[in-house]
Amino acid sequence: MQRPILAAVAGISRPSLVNSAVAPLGAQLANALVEGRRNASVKAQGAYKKKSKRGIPNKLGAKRTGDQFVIPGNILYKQRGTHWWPGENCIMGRDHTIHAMATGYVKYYRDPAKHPDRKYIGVVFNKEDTLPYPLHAERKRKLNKTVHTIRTEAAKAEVSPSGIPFEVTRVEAGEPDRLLRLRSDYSYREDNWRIGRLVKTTGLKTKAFRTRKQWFRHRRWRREREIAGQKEAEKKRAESGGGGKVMKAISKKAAKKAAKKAGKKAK
Amino acid sequence: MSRCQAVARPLARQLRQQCAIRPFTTGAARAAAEVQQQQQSASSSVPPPAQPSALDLDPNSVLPEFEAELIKAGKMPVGSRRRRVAMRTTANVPFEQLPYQAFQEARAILAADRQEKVAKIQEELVKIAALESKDASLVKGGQSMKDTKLASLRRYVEQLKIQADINDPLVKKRFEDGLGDMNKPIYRHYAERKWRSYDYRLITQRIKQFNIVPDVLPKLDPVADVQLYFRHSKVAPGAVVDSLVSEHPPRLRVQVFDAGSRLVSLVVLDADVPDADNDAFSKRCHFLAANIPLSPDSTSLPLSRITAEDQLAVPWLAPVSQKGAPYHRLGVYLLQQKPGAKVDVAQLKQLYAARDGFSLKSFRDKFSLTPVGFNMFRSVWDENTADVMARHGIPGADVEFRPARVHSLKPPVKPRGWEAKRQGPAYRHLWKYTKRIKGLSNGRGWTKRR
Amino acid sequence: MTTTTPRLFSTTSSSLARKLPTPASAPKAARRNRSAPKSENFNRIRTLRRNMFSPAPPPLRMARQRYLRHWTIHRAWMLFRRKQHEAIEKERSRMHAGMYNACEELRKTVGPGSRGEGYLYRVAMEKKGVYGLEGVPIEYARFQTDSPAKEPWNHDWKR
Repeated sequence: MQRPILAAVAGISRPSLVNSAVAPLGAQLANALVEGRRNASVKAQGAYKKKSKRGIPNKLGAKRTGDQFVIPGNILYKQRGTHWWPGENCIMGRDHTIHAMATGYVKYYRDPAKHPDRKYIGVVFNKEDTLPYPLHAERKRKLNKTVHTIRTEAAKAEVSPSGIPFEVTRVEAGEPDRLLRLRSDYSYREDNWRIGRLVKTTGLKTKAFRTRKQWFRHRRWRREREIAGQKEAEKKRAESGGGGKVMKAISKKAAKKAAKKAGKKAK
Repeated sequence: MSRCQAVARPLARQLRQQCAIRPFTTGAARAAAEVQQQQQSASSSVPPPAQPSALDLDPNSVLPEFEAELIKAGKMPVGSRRRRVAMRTTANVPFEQLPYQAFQEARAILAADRQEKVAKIQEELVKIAALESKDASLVKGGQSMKDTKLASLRRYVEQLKIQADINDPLVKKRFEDGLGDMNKPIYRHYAERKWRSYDYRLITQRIKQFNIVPDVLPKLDPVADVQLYFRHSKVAPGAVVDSLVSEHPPRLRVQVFDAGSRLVSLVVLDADVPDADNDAFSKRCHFLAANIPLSPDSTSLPLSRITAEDQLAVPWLAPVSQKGAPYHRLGVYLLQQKPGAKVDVAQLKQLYAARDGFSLKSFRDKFSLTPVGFNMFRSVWDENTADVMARHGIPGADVEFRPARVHSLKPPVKPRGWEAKRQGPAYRHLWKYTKRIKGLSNGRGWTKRR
Repeated sequence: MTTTTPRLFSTTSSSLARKLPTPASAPKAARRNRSAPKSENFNRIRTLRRNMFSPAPPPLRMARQRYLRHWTIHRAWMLFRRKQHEAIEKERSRMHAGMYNACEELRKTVGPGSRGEGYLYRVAMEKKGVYGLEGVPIEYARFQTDSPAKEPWNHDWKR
């Protein structure tokens, strides 16, 4: 900002800082303009009363009226929270929507025996029934099933028209038996899903040690055991043989190196 | 332990062993062995090396020096050395004479309390006798008041009888071992408390969650313990039982908690027989017997043994469930008859021989019975059901139930999409793309419908 | 073998060597002077600190006979306590009834002299001067709490 303008702005803003109520409106506006904010003393012009014009409606409320015919799965009521509760033959969804669970007629009712101030939506089988049903009366249920004769699968021929069997079992020692099926290209192949079964997927142990610490401890112990065993063996050898050449325990790599060296020397 | 103590310890042990004769040692063999050993140790100041007695071969009382032998023989010594020494010296003391001071003091207090209770019982009995001999006209309130008073006095005496024995550890032990005499009120009290603590709650939960109460009876509060055994193994209430297992009638274990013998009727009822014609469910009686005597000490009740002419009305029918039908709830209902009243079994046979459409409510009302016990199991279609049905001549093994189709309330919609739009002859050049799509259409037209 | 690696080339004797503070000796140095004055609540605080944050003791695990003996003793103890409570209750109610009957008797008596019925009762119920001249019970000068102190007022207290 250039110097003269800054001085002018400072000159304008000073009285408003001292007593803003007395300061002229123009000065205040200029102040807000410069500082980029609006004081609480400046009243907002009615924006809080306006409603947003572009909202997506939730479309809540009753989707079926009383005594209307419904089938299972029909939505009876959409709501936020439980203004209505599921009654006879109804269930409540995850978002408190009430669905019908039977074919019948919708009833809106209260049941003081169940709860003193809940409103329920139910579905009855007969239109003239009223909810709640009388206390201790047998429940009204429908079978909702139709009778069909059981169809038995037709016996499949074991041998194909060309005279070769549909299925062959391959038996190998030490392996599970495999069922090979005749394919359309006259090859015998195992079912893909059976091949998948061969892989063991449960109870696998990927790590022998649960923690890194356990593994290191195990390694330390193993080395200690090895060293102790070697020492003991050495002692035993010394006791039994007495003399003899004492083989020094060296690694494979070191032995190779030594052999190489010896070879060089021989040359 | 200080140094000098540690040095003197073996010596002290020797001395202690010599004077360790306790007055309550009653085990003859052990005591004899003990005496022998003491004599040995007394005769020679240096103990002779390793001559194990019978006590030393017992893992419960082996001394430290013979432990190794015993372990070699394959028997591990039991408990601490201290305990084993104690076992040697205090064998076979009766429980109530165990020499623990607090225990003995407690027993004295409890015994005094028992004496008080017994005296009170005597008093009440005298009162009852006086009231019984009194004429009803002299009692204020007449005969009804006299009966009420007598009943309340008797109830009080029963309560006192329980309270007199409730603090006895031996009674508790005997009950826990299952040796309690159920004709005595205290054992019945213990048994009922145990039943109420778990099994009763389980049964009431099953009654509620399987909707037995509105479906079969308007009210059912069991007061007797009924347990179900199929093929010698217990079946939890509400469990699904294989049809092969339930082909033969079960055995019931019935425990009633009030004194005296009574007659009961037994009903096994299937509450979910599918009725496809009416699109509903009906009930079927699988077993019906009456006039079965029952008392607290006779608990076993095998249904296959109920064969008497005046008891068995409807014999056992294997519970089966048709394929696709929802599970069948089979309840075992125990109904108590009025004291001294017998049910006419011939009439039962005549009424309920058809089995179907049996109503427990009307049965209860017709013969004035009160339901006292309940248990249940379930049956579903399984791989053995068809065989069982064939063996017992039950029809319906060849049909299955499938969920009824519910048609949408909306009108059918024409096929939509790019391909559906281009099926007509105007798009003949696209037919190679829009006709004969696998899974969508074939040579005869559009197959996939919404 | 006792010499440690850093002292291999040192010429000082091992007894004069600087000692590293061992964990056992560290709290000893930090411990406060034993003869320092303890507060009057020292013992209470010590008990509280020991027990307040310690885990609950393990459940009792006993064998059959031992459990039965324990049960017997427990039952006897409960019985004893109930009888004791009942006896105390009985004695208190007896005393209360005695006082009530005496007051009732006073209330019904006429006299002495020309005094009317119940005069003696009214006089007996008067609390004048019981708490000193123009006095009120000292309990009313304190806040009324759910858990008052055992000693209502410490009269010996001086600032």
